[in-house]
Amino acid sequence: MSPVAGILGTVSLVICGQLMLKAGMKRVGPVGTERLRRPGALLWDLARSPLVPLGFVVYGLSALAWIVILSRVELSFAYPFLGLAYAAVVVAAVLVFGERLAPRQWLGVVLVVAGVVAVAASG
Amino acid sequence: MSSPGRDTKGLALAASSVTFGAVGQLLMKAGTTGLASEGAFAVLGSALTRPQVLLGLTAYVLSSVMWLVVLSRLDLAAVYPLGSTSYAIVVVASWALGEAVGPLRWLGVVLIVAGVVLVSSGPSSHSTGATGR
Repeated sequence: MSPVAGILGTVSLVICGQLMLKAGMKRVGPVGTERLRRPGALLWDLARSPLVPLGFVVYGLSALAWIVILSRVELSFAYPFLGLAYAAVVVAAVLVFGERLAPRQWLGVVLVVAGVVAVAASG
Repeated sequence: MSSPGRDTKGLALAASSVTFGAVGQLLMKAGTTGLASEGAFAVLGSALTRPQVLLGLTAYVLSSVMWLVVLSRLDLAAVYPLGSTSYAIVVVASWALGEAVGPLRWLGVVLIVAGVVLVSSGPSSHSTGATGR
């Protein structure tokens, strides 16, 4: 597998994990000082929201894949690809969770993607 | 759900998460040197016994747990930009530690940071509140 294909696969895992965690945490609700004082109850709430533990499993898999990638390419090459996860998650936040972006925020997403393309071309 | 401007603790947590994440990346990279020619599972077998990789993973897990708390307090579209300042931090640190970063890669990082600033500067990126979510 080429390094770029591996990096893109790992970035996809990161996107899935991030969205699963966010969807799960929407059910769990805001975690403030009070809930952090009762970690047992909080962990139980997290475990009962299936997308949270599943999201962590996907994150764990992405971390293992990332270690393999880091053994093969420079960190300054691989890491900026995670900007794609950033752009994809922001767009998904709009599509899935109904969050809103202003036009210049969309321009920002486009710049991030262009930046990632430039880094990819620098390999 | 708070907007990022009002939730100072949420922002502080997000910044800590970014810092731990960047340190974790640098440690994991340092711990995988010399394994490039191995197969994927052999890489994991060796890497997961190295202290830098284990420390890096620990920092990464801490970073993720803090991020999880941040996600519960702020909208994804509002906090994810803050998280992505890590791109600049990680690339500058990689360069300082000896990686060769050419003009095109720097340009890419600048574009990413500029994009992040634009997204972060949105007038109303916070949630519309109780819309049945």
